Amino acid sequence: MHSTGNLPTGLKIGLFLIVAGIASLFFFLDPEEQRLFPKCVFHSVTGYYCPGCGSQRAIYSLLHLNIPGVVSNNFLFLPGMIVVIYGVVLPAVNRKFGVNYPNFLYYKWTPLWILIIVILFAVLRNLPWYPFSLLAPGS
Amino acid sequence: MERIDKPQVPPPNYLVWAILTTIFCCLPFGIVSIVFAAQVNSKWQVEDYEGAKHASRNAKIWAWVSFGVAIAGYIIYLTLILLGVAVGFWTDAFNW
Repeated sequence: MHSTGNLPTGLKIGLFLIVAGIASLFFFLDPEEQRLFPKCVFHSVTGYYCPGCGSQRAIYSLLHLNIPGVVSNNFLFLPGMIVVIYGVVLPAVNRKFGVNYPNFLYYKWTPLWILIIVILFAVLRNLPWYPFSLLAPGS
Repeated sequence: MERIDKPQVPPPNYLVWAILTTIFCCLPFGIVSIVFAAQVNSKWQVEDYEGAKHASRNAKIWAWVSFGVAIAGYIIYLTLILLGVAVGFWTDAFNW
């Protein structure tokens, strides 16, 4: 789970097909209009936005190269994606080239900072006042 | 005399998966996973290798819980739609 370096080829191809399939769904169908896409359970039950709300619309926007759309639907989407790509690519580079670049995800304070940012984001995006209201999905 | 050698690398903290399930998924269980990721790093720093391993296991478990609940939720949602129940249910119950 930590890396994809040791997965069997069949599984890799399967994963690739699944990701490609989901990506094309998100490209051709607008989550705003389709009932096929799940509504966030947390939002349906509580009426509040969680840190993940707006991500499906953000994926749709990203696939249509609509960067302002990505940011307005989920402010943490792009930073989160960059961190995830970093976390996957850096260990792969270290392994492949036999180097040992330090991984900042393993620094002592990194997870705590991420935790603080995510919780702050979850709270602030539910405040109804400007400018916090900008953090709600789609605004 | 018994001596515990310092392992070469810290156990995986699964922070990438925690972020994936928190920001790109829909349920806040990923936050629990982030907390355990933090424990992996801090326990590793104070040379509590067993504790770090334990936190690593928990980080993994909670990332999977978050992912599993999201998938299960989606399957239930799809089933409801296929049964033709979802539309009426959501619009009536939540005035959508």
